[in-house]
Amino acid sequence: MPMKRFHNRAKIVQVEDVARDTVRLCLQVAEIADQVEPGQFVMLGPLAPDSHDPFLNRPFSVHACHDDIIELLIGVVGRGSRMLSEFVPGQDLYVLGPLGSGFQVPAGAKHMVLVGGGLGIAPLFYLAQHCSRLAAKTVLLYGAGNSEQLLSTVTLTDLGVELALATDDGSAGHHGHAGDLLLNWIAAQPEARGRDTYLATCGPEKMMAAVAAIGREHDFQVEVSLEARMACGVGACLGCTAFDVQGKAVRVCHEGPVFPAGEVFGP
Amino acid sequence: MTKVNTALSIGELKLANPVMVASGTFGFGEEYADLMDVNALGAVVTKGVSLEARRGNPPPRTIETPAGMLNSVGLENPGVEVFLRDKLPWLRKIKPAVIVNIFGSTIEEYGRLAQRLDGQEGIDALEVNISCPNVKQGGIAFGSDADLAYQVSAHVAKSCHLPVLVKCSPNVTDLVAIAKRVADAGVAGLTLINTLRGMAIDYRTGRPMLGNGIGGLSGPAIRPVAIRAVFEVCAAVDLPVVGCGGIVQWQDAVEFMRAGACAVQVGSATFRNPKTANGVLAGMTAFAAEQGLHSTQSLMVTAHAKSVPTGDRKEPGA
Ligand SMILES: Cc1cc2nc3c(=O)[nH]c(=O)nc-3n(C[C@H](O)[C@H](O)[C@H](O)COP(=O)(O)OP(=O)(O)OC[C@H]3O[C@@H](n4cnc5c(N)ncnc54)[C@H](O)[C@@H]3O)c2cc1C
Ligand SMILES: Cc1cc2nc3c(=O)[nH]c(=O)nc-3n(C[C@H](O)[C@H](O)[C@H](O)COP(=O)(O)O)c2cc1C
Ligand code: FES
Repeated sequence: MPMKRFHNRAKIVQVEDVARDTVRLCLQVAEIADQVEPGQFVMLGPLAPDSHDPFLNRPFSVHACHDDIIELLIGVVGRGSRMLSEFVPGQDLYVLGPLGSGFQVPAGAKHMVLVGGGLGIAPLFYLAQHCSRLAAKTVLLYGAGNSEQLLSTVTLTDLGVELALATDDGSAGHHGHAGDLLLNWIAAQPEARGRDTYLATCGPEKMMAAVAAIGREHDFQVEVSLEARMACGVGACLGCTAFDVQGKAVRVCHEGPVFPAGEVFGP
Repeated sequence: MTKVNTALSIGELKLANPVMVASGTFGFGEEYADLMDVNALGAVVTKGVSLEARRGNPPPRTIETPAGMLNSVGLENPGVEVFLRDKLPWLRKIKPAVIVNIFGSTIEEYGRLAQRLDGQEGIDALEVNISCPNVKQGGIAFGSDADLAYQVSAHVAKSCHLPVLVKCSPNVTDLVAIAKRVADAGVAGLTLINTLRGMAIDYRTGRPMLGNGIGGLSGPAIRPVAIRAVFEVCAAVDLPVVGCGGIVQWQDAVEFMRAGACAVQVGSATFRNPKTANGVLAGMTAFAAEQGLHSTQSLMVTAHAKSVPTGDRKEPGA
């Protein structure tokens, strides 16, 4: 690993509510912004440096990156994420990264399809930023529980990629799942079949399994981004080990979090 | 300020300073190499290595707990041959002593491991994890029986020319009795303590939080238990003791030395801040200088520990 990872305090430049129980946290940290690739993540913490609680740092994907700023999308689900949502601009926060192995967008891909469910949008947003700079056509298919949980369409439209939305309750976009959006997209793109199409997905495991199965059926190149409980985030503790379809142990924090779908869900 | 000598020996093992990183919390060293100053460590203790590769336990394997964590990694490791081929070459290039942590499921396995690691360039000592079940004796942990602990320690010491540290399990009724027996096994020292057995259950579902159910507790939550273990053992046994358990800052490390430890290991705190061990050495050295001491070893107060009544002469908590 030629890069030099960073662990120190970084300045919080923005904290903004962007959806129900979801904040965007922007950190000024050139050492990470300069080298982070889509799909990589950071560990935040110690969250309370002078206390032993919470003890462990928390993993978050890089959601966007520009200049010397990295943006994180934080769903408030427990104690640590609640603490994070209560930070204010001007405060410092320890950040460790960049970590893990991100998306490997194949050089010759003609179509890039990014399918995100819920907070799975976090890394795909940065990937979309990245893809929009490439020549290939990029589409972001994004589903959430309801309209209040969706990121604002303005932000998403600013990405400059094609966008389709779905909600479980039909309160915005298509009434259904992100997987339905993928089927619709495939039906509308008869030329997009086979290895020229790159499909990246992040979200609940069931959704990713369904998306990967659709991708496999059309012979797309598919990558999935996994979650695991992490203690170190750097490959040292073996706390995040997952077993691939062959039963081989992989560290989600180091070999992942992004894996070829075939390794996770079978060829 | 006085110039402070940080060097020490544990039997034949020579260390530039008393701050090590604990087994299983630092991988095989390379994982943290760009995030802290590895060369400022006294020693790197590797992840536990066995004869054959081990898969470890099903996920989830780590859970945060009050002031600490539970892990049920289950000693996943690539096996001794892969260690020698892929991990040792990097470890040879660093300044600190390299201590290979080993474990097995029979006494013979421990011995074969020690033989295999003996004489390998770049290995300075072995640390024997005896918190493992003995498959030949109904799965009771080597470390929970004084005779077994003695036998496995003596067998490892006989099987190699390396200094041997025996890492004791705190999950026993009488640690002092076990330590006393191990002291006769021809080993260089003891490491105290390994994780405490613990468990967390999801109150909603009733299901254990760890894939394996039970795991090992580490972090500041266990420090008082570790300090007590070091204190009692140092008072009773004439063998160098390496203190480990819940160190997050230099004051904690000095506390271990006050209890009688000659050196310390930083474990899970590295997960929070990779530079923890570096800070511990710097802080401890500055403190020794401030106290007008010429060596960090002078922070040990074993004589004091020996003169103070140990817990078993009083009622607990009295
Ligand atoms: C590689 C990776 C990237 C992630 N990216 C994002 C992101 O961009 N946005 C986002 O909102 N969330 C993300 N998560 C999930 C996020 O890490 C958890 O929601 C967060 O750790 C919860 O912490 P808490 O203290 O609020 O919850 P608690 O439940 O109080 O946390 C207790 C412990 O469990 C761990 N934990 C709880 N839920 C998860 C989970 N789903 N995954 C991993 N560990 C968990 C915590 O880290 C902590 O150690 C990511 C997880 C991983 C592994
Ligand atoms: C994730 C993890 C893995 C560990 N693996 C080993 C191991 O392989 N062998 C061993 O002897 N101890 C192992 N330990 C125990 C530590 O070396 C140490 O004794 C314990 O964590 C207490 O120290 P701490 O509170 O500073 O973490 C492990 C601990 C953790 C947290
Ligand atoms: S979180 Fe420690 S190895 Fe992945």
